[in-house]
Amino acid sequence: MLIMRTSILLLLTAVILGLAIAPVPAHAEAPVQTETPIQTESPSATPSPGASATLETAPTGLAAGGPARFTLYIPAASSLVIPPAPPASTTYYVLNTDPAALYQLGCQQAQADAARPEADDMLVILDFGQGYSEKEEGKERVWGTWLFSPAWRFISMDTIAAAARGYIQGYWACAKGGDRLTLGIGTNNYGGYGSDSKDPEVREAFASEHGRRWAQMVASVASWNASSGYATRVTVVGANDIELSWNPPNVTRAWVASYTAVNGSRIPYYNFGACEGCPTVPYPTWKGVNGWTQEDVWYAAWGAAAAWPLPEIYLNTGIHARQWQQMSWYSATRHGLRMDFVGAMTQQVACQQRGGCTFSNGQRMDNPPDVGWRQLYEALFKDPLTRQTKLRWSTDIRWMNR
Amino acid sequence: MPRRKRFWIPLVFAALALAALAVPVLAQQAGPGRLEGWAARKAAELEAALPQVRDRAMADSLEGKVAALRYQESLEATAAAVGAVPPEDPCALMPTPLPAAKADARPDGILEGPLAVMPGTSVEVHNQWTGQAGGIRLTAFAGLRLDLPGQGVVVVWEDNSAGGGEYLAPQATGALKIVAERQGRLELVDEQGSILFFDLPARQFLTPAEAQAKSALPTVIPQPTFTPAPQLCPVR
Repeated sequence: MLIMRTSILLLLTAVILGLAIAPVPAHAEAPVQTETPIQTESPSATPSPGASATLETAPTGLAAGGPARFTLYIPAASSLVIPPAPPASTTYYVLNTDPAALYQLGCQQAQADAARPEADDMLVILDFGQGYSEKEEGKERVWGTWLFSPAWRFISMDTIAAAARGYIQGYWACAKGGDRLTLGIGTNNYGGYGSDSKDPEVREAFASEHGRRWAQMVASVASWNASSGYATRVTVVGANDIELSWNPPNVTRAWVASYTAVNGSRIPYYNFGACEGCPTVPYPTWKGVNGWTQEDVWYAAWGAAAAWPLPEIYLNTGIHARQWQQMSWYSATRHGLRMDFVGAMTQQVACQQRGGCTFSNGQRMDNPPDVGWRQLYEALFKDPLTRQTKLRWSTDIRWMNR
Repeated sequence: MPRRKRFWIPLVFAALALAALAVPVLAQQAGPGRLEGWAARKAAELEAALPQVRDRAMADSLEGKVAALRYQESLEATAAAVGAVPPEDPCALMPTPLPAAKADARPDGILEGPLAVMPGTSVEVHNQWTGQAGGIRLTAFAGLRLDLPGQGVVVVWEDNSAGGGEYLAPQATGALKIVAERQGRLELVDEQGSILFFDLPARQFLTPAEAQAKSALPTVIPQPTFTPAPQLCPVR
């Protein structure tokens, strides 16, 4: 009798252990990650973050057949085994928009990928700087960006599109095997978009128009990419480095809404921004710089149909990862679905190019790509509500040589 | 003796249970290639989540994301139908480089423009100066630290090396702007109209006495220059 009881107990323990461990594949050699379905949660639920012992809805995520209720989750058994970080790609602050120069960079990325068998699915963002527009008297306003210093000049949407096409062609011409690339055509949410105004209402109107034009430009490159036959290897998306200190939320929301409205939001954009000052624990009444709320951050990074989060995980302390984990927790508890991060961005090489990156309080912001990726993975994993076992990309930004 | 043997029974049960649980995990890993049909798989995953989402905003967003993934699939199908084949010469498709004047060459001296951010830092750039100072070609940016109220700053970037740094103004008197450069010394003005001097070779703000003195300050040690990346495709 005793033995039978022990058997049943052990069997149950094994089942529980198995369920708890199952979503986390440990790959000592192979970098393949399995995908955990997105987990949903009732908006009325109020789970605690970093729960140490909890009865949760579904530890491995939502099953397509319906919600699985009351599955026991034992944290001690679901010990974190972090899979190897994916190989990092090189993302650029663009300083030279000559399509021939971008072609060389695209070819370089393809050749680097070909030399690494695991680098068969990469993401690169070309960051062209802040949204801007210029108007000469008697002419139509021209939309584009203002390039980063030291290049620091206006470039039009046509120039940006040509530069992106150059990169795609370079990648296409040099890629080998089954290698694939997702290319983000990027801008950021800083400044007045050429309005010469600090009035948030004026900026909002300009941001809205810029978002519309950006989506049209990205869609035109995506369409050309397909009709040229390159889309078998290259996927084109938009990208925006959205930071809270760079504009009030109404300005950025206007950009996002306009971008999303174009073509029924068929071309996504990746938000590769920061959540500076965001909480790392639940804080429903939190209000950040420029009046941003978590709802605003959520909308710009995930809530808008076109938005996907690719956060900057720069700080060596891991705080950036915890801030974004908390945003995902907010999404799960407030909107019923966690965020689905496409990867993590770091800036190790950009820091090396500029002699280091140290914050005013002495904290360093030069996470190596694999460390940044791991910080995000680990932070998301710790709470069943934000757990994501597939974190697709790792990319490290650098300044393009002029 | 027979008693001891019976203790293995629960362990066998446990091993069988674990083996049974491993099957679905292994099956998941042995699915289609990681990249093949990624958009379709992600779309299916989101569609599966949709019925559980009761929040209208989230559901609308998910529907949009699914539509975008389906559109991506259609673009891939369009491209596949084209059947393009990469050229044998990897440089064959390279566009003709733009003449240097049309590329991104910037003139030396003070450069004005809209306020700009220096990404990855908390610096807002108000203007910049480019030129030769102390035998090193560099760009100096003047502006404001967004995270420190009223704190002016000068940032120096050496061309083609990791040399440079960020230098806070002695007093937090607002954003700085470069108004002149003479023999490697920047003349700057803050928001209160005060004039400050910054010595580029020495990389330091000067006291009024130092600014008056003609003697040179100790200069920074030049950093090793970056090795330029080889050009894959020669310019034709």
